Amino acid sequence: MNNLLSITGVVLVIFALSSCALEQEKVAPPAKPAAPAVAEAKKAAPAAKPAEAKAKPAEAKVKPVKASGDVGLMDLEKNYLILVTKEGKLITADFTGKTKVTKLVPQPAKMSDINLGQSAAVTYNAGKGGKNIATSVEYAVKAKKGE
Amino acid sequence: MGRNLTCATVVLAFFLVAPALAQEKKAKPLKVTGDVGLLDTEKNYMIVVTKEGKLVTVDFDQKTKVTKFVPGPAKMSDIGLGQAASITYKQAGDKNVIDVLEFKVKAKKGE
Repeated sequence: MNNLLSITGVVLVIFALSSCALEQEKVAPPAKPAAPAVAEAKKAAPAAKPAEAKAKPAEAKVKPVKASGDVGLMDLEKNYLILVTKEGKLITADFTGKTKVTKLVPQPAKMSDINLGQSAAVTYNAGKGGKNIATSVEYAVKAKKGE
Repeated sequence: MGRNLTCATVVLAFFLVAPALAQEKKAKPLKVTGDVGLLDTEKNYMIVVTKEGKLVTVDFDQKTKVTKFVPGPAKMSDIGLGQAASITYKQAGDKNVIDVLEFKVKAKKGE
């Protein structure tokens, strides 16, 4: 009788232990979130790339800016000038020994001297019959390479 | 009766002449800048293509004054105050540094 009771007790203990173990095994799946964590890490990596990409254009941003206007101030000692644009904007800019200064000297020319695709400024009068008559044509000759 | 007729004639003449005078005043020169898209030296006309893509057809004749601007080396000291200039500069820190400066020399009278 005692043996039976002890055997039953041992079986119950084993059953209880095994069931606990099974429960632990069942609980184990929550370990899965590790995968999403990796996924997040992967997502973070592409997010970091655009940041790098943004940093690169910032470096490449130093592209030349073009502005036209009238010289409002010229300081040859401090090497800077102020350009007043048509819109009234003041641009202060420094110049160095490397600054390339070019003067455009006007010279008489013929219409046949103008090439196709050349930039030109034409002043004209709107005549009768819808015809525009040019009074003056101005164009800049491109500097040859090395000049 | 005759006075009324005279008044009416004067008023009518004014209305007829006024638009013509206004049109004459309106005829101020226009300016267009762009690339020469077509140049016909036989038919004496050219087409200028503006930056906006507009085509402007202009006729020319012997009276049309053609000027070319030839680039040449210059110094900063050659530039006068108020002179029109175009610059190309780069931003270095909080300063703008000029790479290229171009200015047009005004034609002397008679040229």
